[in-house]
Amino acid sequence: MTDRENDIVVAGEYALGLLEGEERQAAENRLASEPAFAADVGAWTRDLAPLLAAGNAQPSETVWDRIESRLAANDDTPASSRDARLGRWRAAAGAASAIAASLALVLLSRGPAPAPQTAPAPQAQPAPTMVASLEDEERGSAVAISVEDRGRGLVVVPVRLLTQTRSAELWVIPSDGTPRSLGVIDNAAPSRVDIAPRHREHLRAGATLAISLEPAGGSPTGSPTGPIAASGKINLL
Amino acid sequence: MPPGGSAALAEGLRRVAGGERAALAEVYRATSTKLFGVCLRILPDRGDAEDALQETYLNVWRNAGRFDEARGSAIAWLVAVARNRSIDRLRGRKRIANEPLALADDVPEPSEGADLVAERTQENDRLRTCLDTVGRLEAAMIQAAFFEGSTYSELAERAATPLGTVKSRVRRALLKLRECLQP
Repeated sequence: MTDRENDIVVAGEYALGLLEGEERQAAENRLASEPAFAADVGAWTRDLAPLLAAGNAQPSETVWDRIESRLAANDDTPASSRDARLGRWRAAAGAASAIAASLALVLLSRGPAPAPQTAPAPQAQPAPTMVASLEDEERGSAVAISVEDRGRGLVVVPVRLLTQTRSAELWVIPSDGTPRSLGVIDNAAPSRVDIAPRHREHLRAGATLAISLEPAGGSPTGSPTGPIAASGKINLL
Repeated sequence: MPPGGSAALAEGLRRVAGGERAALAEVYRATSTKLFGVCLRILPDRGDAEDALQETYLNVWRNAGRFDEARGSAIAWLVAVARNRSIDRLRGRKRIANEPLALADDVPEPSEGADLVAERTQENDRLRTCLDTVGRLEAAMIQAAFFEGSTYSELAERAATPLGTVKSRVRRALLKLRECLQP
């Protein structure tokens, strides 16, 4: 068997799931690092797929409901580290809620006399709780953000966000990949950021939030120009 | 699939990779009956097959970024995901298939007629023809790997044949199959 033939055969063995242990690991490493090998595996996958063209069948309608109810973050990290991160998100959300609560108290105590009591508005469906933990391990940045009022505002808690002379600008990057500026944030103290109506729909689970370091006052171009200080995805709790 | 469906599906997967739920719903609408057919082919029990289908789309949601159009079509990638999730479930359910290999003369037809509307395509016919050329035992082994997730060591046990012999026979068969499938 020539080397080329051997490659084709190993790709087939891998596509069929025949390999175990070290051989399987070696094939996985090649899949990740050798485009030609990946193409061979792809060819086997394509050519064997007709075996499964057994026909179509209608699943029950509840299947999609079950899928939809389990869509959280679009996070492809392994389950173990995902669980660890979930713990941090929850911690971050706890911190953010505490900050939000204290902010609310401050605003209430400073504000004008409360309007005459009215009956509380009927409660709509509670909004899903969404949080993001923006991090950058190299820089040691950590910023907790919680989405408030269905995207009308964000509570931003810069746990650690070092900038010297530059402004920290917050961006949301939805699925189209284009960053939208949410404004310059305070890098030293918790703050609330109001969100323009046109950006509210982008604040959903799976979207990325990122902070870039920009000239004082924010990016002059409307797109990020400086380095990314921290980033993370919005997640449903 | 409608004309242009393949490109539309690839675009759908790109949007899923970007975290767009609506795109996942579109991909589901376009492919769930086909992928459910795949799940049912491996898991005849509807409940099991629906669980595998659910896992399939959750996996697509998490891993759509790994789909690479240069390496194959979107539908082949989706079918492979559905097969892998179904085999995971099969192995979790039945432990590991260990009954002696059946030496079928032909690729077995799907056993459940109720839900599955047989679909014979040109590719399907060619693959069956090519499998016929590699030898009965070899074809049975390839199918056991494909449909039941059997590994080399499990095939050796099921065929009561030394591991080295199984490997060299399957490897020769794969090479033959590739030559036959080459356009």
